[in-house]
Amino acid sequence: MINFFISASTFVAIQTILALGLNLQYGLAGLLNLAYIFFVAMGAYVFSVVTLPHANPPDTSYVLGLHQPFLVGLVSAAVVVGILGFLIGAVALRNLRADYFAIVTLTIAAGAVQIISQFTPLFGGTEGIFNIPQPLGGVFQGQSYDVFFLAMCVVIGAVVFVIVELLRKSPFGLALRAVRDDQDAAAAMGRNVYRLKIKAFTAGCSVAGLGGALLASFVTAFSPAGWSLSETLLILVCVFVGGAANNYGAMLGTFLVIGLLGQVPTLIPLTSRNPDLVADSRYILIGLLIIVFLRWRSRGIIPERNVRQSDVEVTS
Amino acid sequence: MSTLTDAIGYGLVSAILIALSASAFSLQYSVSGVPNFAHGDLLTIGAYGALVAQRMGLNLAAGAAIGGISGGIFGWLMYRVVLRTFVRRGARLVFTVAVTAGIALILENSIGLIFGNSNVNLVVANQVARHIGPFLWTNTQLVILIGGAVLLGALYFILLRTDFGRAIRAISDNPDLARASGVRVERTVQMTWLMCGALAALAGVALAMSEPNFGIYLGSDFLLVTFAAAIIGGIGKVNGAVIGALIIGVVTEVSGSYLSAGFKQVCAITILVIVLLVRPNGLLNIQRAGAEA
Amino acid sequence: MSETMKAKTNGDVGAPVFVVDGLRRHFGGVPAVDGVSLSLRSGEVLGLIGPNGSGKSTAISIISGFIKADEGSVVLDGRDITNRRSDQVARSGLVRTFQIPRVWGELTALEHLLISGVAVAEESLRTALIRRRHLRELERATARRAAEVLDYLNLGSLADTRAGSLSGGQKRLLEFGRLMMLKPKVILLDEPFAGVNPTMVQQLQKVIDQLRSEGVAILLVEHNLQALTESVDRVAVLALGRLIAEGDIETVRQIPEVVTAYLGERKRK
Ligand SMILES: Nc1ncnc2c1ncn2[C@@H]1O[C@H](COP(=O)(O)OP(=O)(O)OP(=O)(O)O)[C@@H](O)[C@H]1O
Ligand SMILES: [Mg+2]
Repeated sequence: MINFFISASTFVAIQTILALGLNLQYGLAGLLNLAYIFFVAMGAYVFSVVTLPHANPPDTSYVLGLHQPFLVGLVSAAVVVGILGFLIGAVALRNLRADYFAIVTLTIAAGAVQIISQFTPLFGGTEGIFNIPQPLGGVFQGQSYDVFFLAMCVVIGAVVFVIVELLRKSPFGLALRAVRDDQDAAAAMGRNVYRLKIKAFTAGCSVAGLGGALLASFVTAFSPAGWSLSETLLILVCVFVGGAANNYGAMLGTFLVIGLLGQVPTLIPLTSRNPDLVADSRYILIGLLIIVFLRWRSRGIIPERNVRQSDVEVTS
Repeated sequence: MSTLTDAIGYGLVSAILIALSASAFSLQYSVSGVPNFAHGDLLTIGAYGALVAQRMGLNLAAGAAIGGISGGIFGWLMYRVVLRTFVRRGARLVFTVAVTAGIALILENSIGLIFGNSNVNLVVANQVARHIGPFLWTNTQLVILIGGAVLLGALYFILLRTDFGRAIRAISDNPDLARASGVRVERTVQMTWLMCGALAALAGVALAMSEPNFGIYLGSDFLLVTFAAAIIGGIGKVNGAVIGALIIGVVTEVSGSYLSAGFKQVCAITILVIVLLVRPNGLLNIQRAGAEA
Repeated sequence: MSETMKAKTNGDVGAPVFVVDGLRRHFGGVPAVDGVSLSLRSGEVLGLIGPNGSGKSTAISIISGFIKADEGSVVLDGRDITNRRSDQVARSGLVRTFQIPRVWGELTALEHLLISGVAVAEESLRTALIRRRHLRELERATARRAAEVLDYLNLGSLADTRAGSLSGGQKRLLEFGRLMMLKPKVILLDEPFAGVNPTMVQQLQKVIDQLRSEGVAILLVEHNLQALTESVDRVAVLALGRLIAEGDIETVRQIPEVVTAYLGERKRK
């Protein structure tokens, strides 16, 4: 029981990091990035091939295999995925319409799954990558290792939280929110919409990469089966429920959706007739949550926080 | 030499499937402004509708009809029950996109709950390949080609020659003007969702016929090529969708037969990226003013 | 707001800050703007009137970089800004408003002014993450100015209201507030008084007078002559994309083509 609690908490902590990155893109910049999970996956892959030793075909196959320390893997994931986000954003944002962006990102993600599945030498194809390293395996053992890993995720999550919170409150964050609400008006006030969006997209992808690296290290295995559109929507619904553009909201939403609601379907008794009942009904629930929240409570549980007069009260 | 013509022949078959799927998507988009991310599931519903009919002992033609009708009903329901409020409220585009994605989750997994998540297949007549002109087609492919061409022709006829079609075009052009000049906008939009649902579902039946087996992601996996075609043509344009479908269909099949099958997707994405870089609004879209919408 | 109170120039001193020459734009063969030339000096207000569809908004959109021109040039302060991107045009000192007020729905009135009062260069990750002290000072200074502008516009009590829930007139005022924070050289206003109640029109007028007294050149687009008050220095008349008359209000009112342009419109209706 306690083991389950620790691992569930670790998962929630990692998902929170992912939600924070997506909130930067969706909540602040209004970018509905349906390829978000693709960037998470790339973070996982980059981390794996940087930290794992050389591949050993035919048992395992992947590129690089640099056998670097955990931290190097983490940083590489954030940096490489940030660059990838920049490149893809530069193309996908060529047309600045919101629906175009969603469609293009979905198309790119769908293509990427197929490509990575087909080209085994890249990241192990459909089989994926195994034995992904975990940090400090020698120092902690058993349950204390799990606690250590949870603590590490929480600390990294806190750092990410502080950074995205600083961004949100800054002129940069304010400009993003303006672009999100009316990009023509933002352009008319001198804001370079394309540039602002690319920046937000890149930063969000970088967070996705970091989260993906932690995810890979936590699960120790990663394959294309783990990332479909549904996974992106799962993170997105955390943001919707908690409150878009609000980082506290994203945290709360992740806790509610992944930590609590996500467990509800496991209460349904399993029958041999339908082994997928739990997974299926979980996704149905998520679909319903998206519709219900956007229909009746589109600002989420903790709505966006505005700069109030009392925040900037000047004593002259 | 024959590999090339064979591949082009296959390409034409996928092109007609993509064209049906992409024009249904584009039409729904152009009348209501909703990019339907649950579009793929309309194809899936069509395929499973035909499957049910077959399991009840009906033939494939009846199955296609039942699949088409179910797709039409679901397309209409989607709009009428869920999306209409968002459209009327003038909700942010990202909301409608996310909502359709939510609908997709619900539909896919409900189909999974009902039919199970393992693959199924439609029973089609024995495959006999024959040469027609330079091309080599199986009888199933021929049925798809002819059926698809007839459907597309019917779609064009409706759009260009009937009052319903004129209403659709008027609304796509300018909904307010259309309303002001007496077009029954609401009814037309609902009818369009119904028609396009049926069209997509029929494409789904054809897609299922051409695959050895399929599962609940039949249609959503097809979204990649559908969207690629729609974007290349310029989203919302039926002509664009057809041209995009031809490009995507033929190029992916040809490249797939010369390189490995995995290159199909690489090619689709590459074309998409090039088009986005060169003409971000699609091949058929002339620049439209963004300022005073 | 009382910084450099320039005297009313009435448009006969100094070279023009803003010159538009031979602007042309077709939409599918139909000319929307067909050879429009205008010029404005600092502190001058030029009224641009014309019936529906005469190309006023299109002209503004071309000048401000939202629509590409087929031909012609736009020169601001001696710099050619023709067909620059809209944000570049704005940063070079030429700012427009839209025919339907466009505000950022989820942002409060205060936030609108905070954005407009901060230089684009400050919207960097560096300012956000590293130059924290600088940022605090910047915020304080901007907030002070924003508070002044809000009071000037009588929007003080609505500072914390989200713009999406403001009335049409209040949104328009807020747009003007953004302009006051930004301090551009040239302002293009697209029918700013349309659908705004008379008291608020007076308030908008007050802002226009204030900006002009600070030396801003203003192009004021209006639907008909009556809406233009005496504060306009000159009037230009647009019909079917062409300028058909230009001069002071009284002279323009007498020109037969102007009368026909409006009568023609009335017949169409
Ligand atoms: N994006 C566009 N595509 C095609 N035609 C356009 C476009 N924008 C404007 N037009 C046409 O150009 C002409 C001028 O339009 P514009 O909006 O500039 O007129 P206006 O003088 O601002 O009218 P109003 O007083 O109604 O605001 C009209 O005939 C209009 O239909
Ligand atoms: Mg206008």
